[in-house]
Amino acid sequence: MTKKIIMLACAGGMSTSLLVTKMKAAAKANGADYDIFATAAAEIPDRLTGDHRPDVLLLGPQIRYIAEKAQVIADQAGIPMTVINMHDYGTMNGVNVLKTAEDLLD
Amino acid sequence: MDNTQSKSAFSNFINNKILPPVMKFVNTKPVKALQDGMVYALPFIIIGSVFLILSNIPIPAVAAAMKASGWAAFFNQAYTVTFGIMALWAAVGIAYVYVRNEGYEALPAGLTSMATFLLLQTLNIANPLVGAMGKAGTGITNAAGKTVMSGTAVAANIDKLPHALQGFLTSPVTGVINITWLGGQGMIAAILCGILVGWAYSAMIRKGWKITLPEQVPSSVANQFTAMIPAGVILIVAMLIYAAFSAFGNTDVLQLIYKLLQTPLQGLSDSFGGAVIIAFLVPFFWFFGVHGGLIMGGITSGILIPNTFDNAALYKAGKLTIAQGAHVVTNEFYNNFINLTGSGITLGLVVFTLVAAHSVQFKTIGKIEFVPALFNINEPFLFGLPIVMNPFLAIPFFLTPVIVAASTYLVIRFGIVPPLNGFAAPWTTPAIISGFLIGGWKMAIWQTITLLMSVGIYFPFAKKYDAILTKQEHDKAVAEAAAGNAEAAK
Repeated sequence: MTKKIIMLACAGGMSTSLLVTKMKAAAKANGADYDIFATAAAEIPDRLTGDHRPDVLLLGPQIRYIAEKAQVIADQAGIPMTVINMHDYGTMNGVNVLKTAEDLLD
Repeated sequence: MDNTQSKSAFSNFINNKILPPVMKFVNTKPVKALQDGMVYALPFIIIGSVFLILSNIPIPAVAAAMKASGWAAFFNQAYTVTFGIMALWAAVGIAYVYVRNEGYEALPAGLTSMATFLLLQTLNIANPLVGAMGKAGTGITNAAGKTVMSGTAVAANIDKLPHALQGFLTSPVTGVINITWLGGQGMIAAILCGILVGWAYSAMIRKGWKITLPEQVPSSVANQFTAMIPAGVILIVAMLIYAAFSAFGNTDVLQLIYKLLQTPLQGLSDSFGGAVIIAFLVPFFWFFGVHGGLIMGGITSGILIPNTFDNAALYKAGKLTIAQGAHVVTNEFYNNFINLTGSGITLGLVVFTLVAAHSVQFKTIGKIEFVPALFNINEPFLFGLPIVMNPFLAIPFFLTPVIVAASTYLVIRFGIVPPLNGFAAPWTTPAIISGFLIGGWKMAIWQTITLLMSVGIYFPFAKKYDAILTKQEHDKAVAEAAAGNAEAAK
C-alpha cells in the first residue's frame, strides 16, 4: 500500500509548516507513516490535480474564507477536506490535527 | 452579563453583516487573480532590489569605486530587467492566474496579456534633448553629475541650427520599448490589463471560440491553435483602443490611467490617514480569525509596490528625500513595520511570556511562538493564546499597529529618519535586519523603538489576561482535586 498523503494549506505555507513538523512527530510516535506537507492556498487547484495528489486536505483556520471554494475543488477531485480547529492550530497540536486527518481518511 | 451579551451581538453583527461581503469581494476572481498574480512579480522585485543596493551602496567611497570600475552599470542592468519592469511581470502573472483558476491552459493568456500591455503603450521615448533644453531643462551634465551646459545654453545652440535639423534632433526616439511604463508607473494599468485579458480570454474559451482541429491532428499541434482566436480578438480590441487614444487624444491609455487612477491612489495610500487605516484593518480582520495580512496585502500591494518603486528610482538617482517626492508609505512600510513580528506586532507578548508569564497557557504558547516571531509569523499567538475574538487582548492588538504606523509615518515625514530606500525585504526578514536593509542604520534603530512600543502597549493587558488564565487554571486544578477527593471518599 502506498503512503497516504496529507496536505495542509495556509496563506503562504509558512506557519503551517510548523504544524507539519509536529504532525510528523505525532505520526512517528504512533508508528504511522504519512507523507505530510504544507503549501500555499494559491496552489490548491494545481496540487489537487497534479501527480502528487494528497489523500486529504486540511486548511489553516486563517484562510477558512476560501473554504467554500476549496471544497468545490476538493469535491471534484474526490479528496476529503476540512478546516483545522483554531485551538489545535494555535497550540500546534500535532496529535489532534493528525487525528482530524485520519478521521477524514477512514 | 449585559456586557458579554452586547459583545457577542457586536461580533455577530461583524461576522454576519460585515465580513461576508468583504470575503465575497476578496474571493472574487479579479481580486484573487491580483493577489496570486502579483506573487509572480515578487521574486524579480526582491532580486532586483539586491542589485539596486549593490549599484548604490550607501557608503559614498564604495559607491564611487563601483561606478568607476563599471560594475555599477552591470548591476543597474540587472536591476532594470527585474525590479525595473515589474509591471510586465504583473500583467503576465495576473492574467495567467485568472485563466488558471478558470481551469484552462494559462500561459497563452499570460503572454496575450503581455502583448496587450505593450500594444497599449506608445512605443517611443521623448528625445533626451527636449528635456535638457530651455529654462526648466536639466541642461547637460557630465559623468560626475556636474552641469557642463545649462538648459538655456543648450536651447540657444540648437536654435542656431537649420529648422529641419532641429526637428530631427528633437524628434522622439523610435524602435524602443519605453521601460518607464513597464515599471512603477505602469502598475495599475498592468493590473487592469491582466484582469481584463484574463477575464476575456476565459470567457471566449468557455464559449468555445477556438479553432478545433480534427482528432487526427496531434494535440501538440492543435494546442497552438486554441489560443489564436481569443488572443487575436483581444489584440485587435487593444489595437483599436490604442488607435483611438493616439488619433483623438494624442496620448495612450497607460498615461491616462496613470494620471486619473494611479497618482490619486498612490497619494491616498501614502498619507497619514492611509497608513493608519491600513494598519487598523490588518488586526481588524485577524480579530475575526481571517488572515488580515494577506487580505490587506493583496489589496494594497498594487499601490504600495509602485510607491516602493518610486523610492527605488529616487535612491538610484541619489535624490531620496521627502522634498524630492519620496513616499513614506511603501510596501515595506506595510511588511516591515505594520506586520513586524507578525500581524498586530505581537513581539510585546513574546517578551511578556519570557519574563513575566505565570499561566501554563501563556508559557506554552510563548515557547511555540518564540522562533516564528523572529520571522514575523504569529499564528500560534493568534489562534492559540488566542488573540482571535479575545476581548482581553483586543485593545493592544488594534492599538499597536496603529500607533507604530502613525509614529513611523511622522518620523519619516519630518525627516528624523530617511525615507525607505526601495529595497524589497521579504516579509519574513527578521526585525532590525529588515530595518537596516530597507532604510539603513537609522531605520534599524527606529524599528527597535517600535518593538519597544509593542512591549509597552501589550504588557499591562497581557498581565491582566495572564492573571485571569492563572486563576482559571488554579480553579480547575482545585476543582479536579476536589472531585478526586470526593471520589476517594466514596
